Amino acid sequence: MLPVIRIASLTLQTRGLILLAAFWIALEVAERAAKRLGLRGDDVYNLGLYGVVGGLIGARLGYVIQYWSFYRDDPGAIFALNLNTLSPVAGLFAALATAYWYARRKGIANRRLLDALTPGLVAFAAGLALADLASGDGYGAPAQLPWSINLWGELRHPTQIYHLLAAIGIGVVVWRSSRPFDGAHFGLFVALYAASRLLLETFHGDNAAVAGLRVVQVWSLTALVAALVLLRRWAEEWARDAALIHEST
Amino acid sequence: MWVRAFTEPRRWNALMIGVVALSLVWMFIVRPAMPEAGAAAPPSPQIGFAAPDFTLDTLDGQAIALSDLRGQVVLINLWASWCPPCRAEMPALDAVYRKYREAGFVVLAVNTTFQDSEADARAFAQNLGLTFPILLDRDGATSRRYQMQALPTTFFVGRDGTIRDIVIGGPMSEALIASKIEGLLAEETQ
Repeated sequence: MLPVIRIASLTLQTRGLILLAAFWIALEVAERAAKRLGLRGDDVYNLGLYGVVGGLIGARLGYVIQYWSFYRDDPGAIFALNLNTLSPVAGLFAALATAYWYARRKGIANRRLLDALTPGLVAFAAGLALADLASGDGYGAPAQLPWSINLWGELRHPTQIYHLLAAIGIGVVVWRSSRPFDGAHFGLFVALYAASRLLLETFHGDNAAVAGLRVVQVWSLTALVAALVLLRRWAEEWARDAALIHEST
Repeated sequence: MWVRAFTEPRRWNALMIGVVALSLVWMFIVRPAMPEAGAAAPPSPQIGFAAPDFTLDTLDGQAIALSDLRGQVVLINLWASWCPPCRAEMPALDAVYRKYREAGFVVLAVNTTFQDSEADARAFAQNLGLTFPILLDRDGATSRRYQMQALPTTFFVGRDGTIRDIVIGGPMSEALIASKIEGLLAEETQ
């Protein structure tokens, strides 16, 4: 665990630094993937930047609306540079909405764009695991294993490392898989990532439960089923088109 | 090719049924157990864990133990007189404290005396007219126990004694502090 890095009198939170670096790397690899797929790299890069700015504004707005009674008396605090007053759900929706709006404007709101973004998503997933490892978040359940790590006063599953390895593995599988139709790599990534979360959540020590089940697993299964259904639909479409082309030749 | 699992209906049906069935069985097998009585995790300076206990002297020479404040919402603020953001957020802390103390809100402003001085801490509190207790961490044991890495650092502790939020750095606004404690104050005393 390395929660902060000190440079002279400056103390920087490692988690934030890693996430920032991961985001930048994610944009870089997505830009390259976009060029390979015949999209404009700049568009994909800007899409990410617009998304994060929209997401941050949305996250703060969501928090301010939720706690408006306090902000009404202290309006200057709405603009405070503090990451502790953000609403993650509002931020996620705002980021997706902004990115979608930008993609529509650029005429790239299509499945090929999702494939271009996929290597970036893999890189960010790996960065998230590293950030958790640095800050001690997303910690594992207590376990006496040869590879357990000492965290928060106990030997625990190194869940952050499990997630890092899973992200690398998923990246390799997606990279080596064919891409017969647009959306194939994205769908494959979502399905594999959701499956890995569903499996690895088991070893977490910080899980919330709903109706006796782990919340993350419920969401993961939902995402996994949605990805499989989408892949099925897109694959059928592709197979139909391929058959038509075959017949016409 | 992997895509055949999605183009052939029989393969896809088998995949879907297999994935859903296996997932549900797995989720049921590994469902979280109810925590056993007495099996609580050791106190740690992390969200979801019991706040590590400490007993420290105040500027007035009175000893305050965190464990004595169980049932109240406690804000633990680690600070130093020479730290500008610590100074900047103190008026907000004091304002929120005065507003909510009747509702069961306590501020423990732990001066990191091992890297400050008692005289400076006293002058700081007097200059700003702070009304909450100022605790003195003379040997640094409490700061170490809370793995303090930066100043200021603030822990929000619920009525049940668990850490519910952590803010590293500052200054915090009145709105931030009030929004973090509102839900905690509304919780039932255990």
